[in-house]
Amino acid sequence: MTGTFLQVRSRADFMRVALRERRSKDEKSLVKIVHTNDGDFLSEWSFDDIKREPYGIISKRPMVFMLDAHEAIEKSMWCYERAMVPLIGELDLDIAVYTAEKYQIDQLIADAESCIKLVSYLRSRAEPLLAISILDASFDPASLLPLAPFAKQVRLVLTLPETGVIAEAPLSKAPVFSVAPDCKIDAGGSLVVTKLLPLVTPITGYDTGIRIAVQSKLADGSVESFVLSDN
Amino acid sequence: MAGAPMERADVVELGMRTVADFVSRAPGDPADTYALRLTSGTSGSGPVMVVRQFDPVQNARYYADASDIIAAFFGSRSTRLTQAMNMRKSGALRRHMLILDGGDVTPHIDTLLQQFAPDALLGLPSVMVKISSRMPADVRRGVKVIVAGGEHVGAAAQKYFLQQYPHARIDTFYGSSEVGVVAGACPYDPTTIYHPLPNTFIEIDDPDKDGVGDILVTKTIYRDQKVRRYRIGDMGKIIDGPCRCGESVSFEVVGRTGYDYIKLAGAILRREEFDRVALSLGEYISDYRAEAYIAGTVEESKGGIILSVFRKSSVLNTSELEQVRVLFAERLFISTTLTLAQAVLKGYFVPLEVVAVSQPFPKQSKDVTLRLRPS
Ligand SMILES: [Zn+2]
Repeated sequence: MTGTFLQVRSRADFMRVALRERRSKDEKSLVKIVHTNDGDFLSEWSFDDIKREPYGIISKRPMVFMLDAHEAIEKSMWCYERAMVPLIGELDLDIAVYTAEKYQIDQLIADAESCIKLVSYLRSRAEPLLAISILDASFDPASLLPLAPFAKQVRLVLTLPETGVIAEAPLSKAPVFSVAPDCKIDAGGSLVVTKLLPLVTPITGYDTGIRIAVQSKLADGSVESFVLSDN
Repeated sequence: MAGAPMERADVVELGMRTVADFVSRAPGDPADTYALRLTSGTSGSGPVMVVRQFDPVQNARYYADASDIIAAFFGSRSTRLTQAMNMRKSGALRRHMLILDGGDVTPHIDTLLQQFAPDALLGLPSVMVKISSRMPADVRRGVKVIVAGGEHVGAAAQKYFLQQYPHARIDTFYGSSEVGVVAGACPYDPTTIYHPLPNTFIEIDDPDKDGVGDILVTKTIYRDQKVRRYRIGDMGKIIDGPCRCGESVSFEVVGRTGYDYIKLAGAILRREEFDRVALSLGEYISDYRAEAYIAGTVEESKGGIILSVFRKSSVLNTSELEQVRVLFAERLFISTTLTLAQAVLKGYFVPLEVVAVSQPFPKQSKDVTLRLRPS
């Protein structure tokens, strides 16, 4: 830890406080630009922290296909950290599909919108993927259910660029999310997350603005499982 | 070294073999030895994927002492991922890297660059110029090194960087997406003289009276797969005698004005790609000439293309010219992932100009189908 740093409680803090003032440790890291409707901010991730996140599963030939270039590079670096050589999907769908075919991918890590674009490619495959991990801040199960036959497991991974993984659920009509390892969730008006192992900008009591309905609680009163409420 | 030079088609085929090999076997080496890369294919084939091994030497040198690095390549994501891995694998323990995307150039970028405060900048010269114009002066004063690759750093761009970054030294490297880094710049003359990397060989094919000819590269790109005497697409000449920096082999890259490839404004214009699109528009185009040029100032430079079209049956009328203008730009790939039309939308190129000519183009000894207008 380097001396003092300012706590962030919400995205407004990320935008207000300069990176250096919320940097709790100085390690080799990747800095992302996070674009939001309210403005842009920097989010720094040490490679050890990136590695720890459960973004995908371990396989031989993962593909990362995301709209946002920073997210795509970070999730690809996650693959390298986990000893896999990733295929980073180009924005152009034809090129992305061509490379997926050539590389004979066995797993897909993608945001919800990008995933859907690959349906006709997935349908053309002889074998299902080992897993599809859909990384996003919200999910429309009805639009994602058509993906179910194309992988042995389809994971809905509730993720924000600045917090990493918060919770995950198997794909279903009404997905129930379970809190991710090393995460603590409290529910006030919306989902409040604490990452128990401190990130470069520590996430402690961070209000995500994501609306949830609590299903079960742990002994300490924090949230064990929940469903996402309609926005 | 013997054997006919490898042409692009040979290297594309080699690249396809690397992918097939990589997929078919369990990699015995660590994952961070390999990168999947996209490169332009041959006529009509679209981009091609290759597996390449990382260049260890590159990692050690360029940003050895830098701690806050911005990489500014707006091209394919595979390029940017490779740069991220190069930085990940090398140098200072405490190092922060920001890999910029074209979409990041929003009204907020100045503040974010101020916060990040880079001490090193790595990228395509044309993209770095774009970023520079958004970087506050006090931040630019903190930059110690500028590493340029992928395009030649012309005299105007060099002067611009030295003015904008008073405390920076300029370093460059030479290579291509399909073979990786081929040479590093001489510290005494970092924008003109190059020295090949270890285990990389340079020859000049059929040199003219000044010693200038096509550069041929021999290098291992993957396991035991080598490109041998590969015509990389630039012209150059070997400089006799040892360099004052101590290196024994030196060469100069002289011609980016080659007739098969033109690199400008972050793009690679390839004659065979022009041929492919012209053929697809056969009802309008019997023959053509294309001239590329740099438009605007150094700070706001864009690429431009003028297409002169000849049709045997009749001269193109206004609406046909417009048709060619739109379709040609939509179909022509000027990088592995970007069409000319997309590049215009992103502000890297000015819109295509199409001119109808009534007479066939004169036959010349040198092929001038695609040429760069001298600046
Ligand atoms: Zn030298």
